[in-house]
Amino acid sequence: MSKWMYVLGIVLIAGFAVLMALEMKSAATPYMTKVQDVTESGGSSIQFKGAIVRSKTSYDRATHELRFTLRDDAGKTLDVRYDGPKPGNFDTADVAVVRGVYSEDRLRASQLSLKCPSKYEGQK
Amino acid sequence: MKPHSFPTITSDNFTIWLGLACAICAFIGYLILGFVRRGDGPEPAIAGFARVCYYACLASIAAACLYLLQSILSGNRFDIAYIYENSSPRDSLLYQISSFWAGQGGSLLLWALMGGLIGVLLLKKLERTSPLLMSFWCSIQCFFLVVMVVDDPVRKLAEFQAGMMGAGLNPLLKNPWMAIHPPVIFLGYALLIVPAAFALQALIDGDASRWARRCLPWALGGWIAMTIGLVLGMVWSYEVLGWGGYWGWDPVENASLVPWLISTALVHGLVLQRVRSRMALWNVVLAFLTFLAVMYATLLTRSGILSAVSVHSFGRTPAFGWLIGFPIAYGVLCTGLLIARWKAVSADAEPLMARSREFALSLGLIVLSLFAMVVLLGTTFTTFNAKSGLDAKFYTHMSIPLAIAMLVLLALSPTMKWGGATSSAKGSSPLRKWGGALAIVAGLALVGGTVSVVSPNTRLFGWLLSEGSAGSRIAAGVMLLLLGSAVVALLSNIKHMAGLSLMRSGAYVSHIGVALLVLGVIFSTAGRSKVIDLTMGGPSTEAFGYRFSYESRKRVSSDAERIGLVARGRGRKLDVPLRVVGSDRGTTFFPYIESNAVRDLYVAPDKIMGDTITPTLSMAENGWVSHPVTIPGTPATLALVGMQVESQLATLSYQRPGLAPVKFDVSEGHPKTIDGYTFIFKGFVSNGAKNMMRVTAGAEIGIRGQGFNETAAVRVAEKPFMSLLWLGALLIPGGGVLAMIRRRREKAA
Repeated sequence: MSKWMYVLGIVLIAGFAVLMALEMKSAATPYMTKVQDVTESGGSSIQFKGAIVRSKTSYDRATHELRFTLRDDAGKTLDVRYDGPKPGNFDTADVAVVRGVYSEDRLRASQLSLKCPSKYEGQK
Repeated sequence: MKPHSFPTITSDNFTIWLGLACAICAFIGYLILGFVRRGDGPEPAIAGFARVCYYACLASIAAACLYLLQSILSGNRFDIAYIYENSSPRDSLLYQISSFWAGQGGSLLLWALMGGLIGVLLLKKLERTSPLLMSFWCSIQCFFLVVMVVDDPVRKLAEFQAGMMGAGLNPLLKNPWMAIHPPVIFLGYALLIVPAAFALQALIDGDASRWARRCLPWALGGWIAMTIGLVLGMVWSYEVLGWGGYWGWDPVENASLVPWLISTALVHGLVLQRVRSRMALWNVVLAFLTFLAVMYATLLTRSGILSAVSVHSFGRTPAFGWLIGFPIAYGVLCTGLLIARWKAVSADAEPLMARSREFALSLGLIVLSLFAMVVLLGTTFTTFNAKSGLDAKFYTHMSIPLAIAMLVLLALSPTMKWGGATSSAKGSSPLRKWGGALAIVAGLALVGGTVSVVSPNTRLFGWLLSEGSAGSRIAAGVMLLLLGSAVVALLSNIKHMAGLSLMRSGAYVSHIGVALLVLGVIFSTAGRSKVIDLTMGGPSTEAFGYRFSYESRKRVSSDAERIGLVARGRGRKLDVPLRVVGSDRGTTFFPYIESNAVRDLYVAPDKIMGDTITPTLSMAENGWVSHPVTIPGTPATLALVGMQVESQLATLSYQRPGLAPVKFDVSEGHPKTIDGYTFIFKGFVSNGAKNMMRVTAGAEIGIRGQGFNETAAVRVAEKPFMSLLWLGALLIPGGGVLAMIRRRREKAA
């Protein structure tokens, strides 16, 4: 095998490593627990965990739009809009983890997971 | 996670302690034997001692397993935390048995048993020649047992009170595929540790030329079991979880994908070494990496790290130090030996030729290793980074170029000969072969790219084009490239398999499986889904050529209901029963799948609603606080003010603004009508079933009356050619089995 083959191989693998680093950076979704961090996140994908404020939940059955409010430890609140059917266990959950993008004064959540009991494998 | 007390011996767990003591003795015995023994002299006394200890250890593990199984089946040992959390005498026998491995403790016990049994095979074959290999194997048994001593699988439930009964197996795990998935995976894990034992022995002997032949059946067997185990998990995910997918890139799945990828590389490397006496060094490294990946998977799935991933509070088992310490120690041992014996294994005979099959295979090993690295890094990042998660698109974006490279290699390798000999008839040069393949793939990409840009609404590639944006067209082009390489790999392998006897076609069968699997993935992900709303007895809604209507809702058992949908269209009437199971873990919906060769119709309930509200109670510092719920469309509220779990009776309070609240009881079969609304008790739900600390509890109350209907939001998806995916998933291990049978026959002959 000639020398240039090794060079080509090394270049390809290096390129792959760079691609991986870039992809990882763009796919990373920082965890946040402070509402202030979310409002300053500037439109990138983030993940926020907060307590559900039960009195502020509304659900539109026609459009499957779930609006609710999460509260952080400091008592600041964050309005969340989740486009998707309300999960069956939403009413009994205390804490929600939402993933999405913050824009126009609310978090548009694309993923919603609830702190509910589940075994290590059963959860999705 | 609760604080655990210091490990103690109890009447429940003494077999585990005994097993550990025996495993340590066997380990030391074989270690001494390994250094004492020279030549073929009479067997030293220590050999008999070590063997007796090994069997005693296995017997202890078996006794511990039988004890746990017997305790589960007795139906009255809910004082054991594990049984309380996972088992119930109300479950069928199959699911009572499979609750054995539904949690961490029982899984480890089963795994230790598998390891112990495989050790017996090693003992029979290799004890005389390789005592050090046996001591390594005993050290693995020590690892499992010490973890179980520290994190006792049969620990007593601290809050136990007489009369308490377990909640039973999680409804999601009540599936035949899931019942056998863990044992198959553990069998794979245990077998995949064997190559590392051989590799260690080879390094100690300073001779890495002969171990590949002896090691191949173990590696292949482990790889087959792992493949089947992964596929079982995929089937379960698709049939049960209702999200419509089969692989979610979550850490539990990834944890077992990494050893699978590395062991796939190892199996190919071992073949290469057997046939061409190459790759000795690489195979040693791959054997070690497979082993370490298995240990890492153990750490991830058994330490409790992952159970907390969704809420990022890393609850840790007290055995965490051992779980992380052993792999590190093994890593140091493997690396140290490798450095010390570098010279003995690092001589590859002749330079690789670019047109040889071994060159294509070597590239394949690199691609598989890169893939393993991607999954490993992503999983590690998600698991141990407390500050950030990782979107699954990372894995899909990274795996597509690797899959294309892999498929091109799969297409080329059958056309190449060992050692690079050119086939005399055609005399094709390597340049033409590589160039030809690249030209086909590039041509397909060009055609696909042009079609997707020029005519975004083309029917031909309609599946691949979601929206008209430039980004999605590029994505469609990449998908077409993937599609093209999969087709070429498929055709190339079919062409070269033709004329071979079934026994000799193992590799081709597996590679055809890979190509079919990729095709299935491409087509099925190109399918579409939509959410439709249905009202019982109401108008029907169209989706994918069917008109869906909601016709019935029936209780089929004490905890399960059947939502009866009917789909009419394409000249027939299709019953679509959806199962809803309520337990104190919450409500679980199960999808309905109608499959045929060209497409799956996947119907999953997202929410059965409208008729049900869930007023809740939660535990506060000074007692229970109830949280009234507004009855939708009315100003009235309904609150849960009392609950009797034993008799399944809820006390509710109905209030209209300005009027005094009305208190009443409802229980199953005893609804109550007020103001024209009928309230029907459907069951209690809770968010804290694991311990007695039920933080929030609710009652599901059905409502009937003016303006209240049974409604269901259902996600309907059409998934083209899922059949290809499953066929491929069957052929991959199938080819491995053929290769295994062929080896055995050759050996016997």
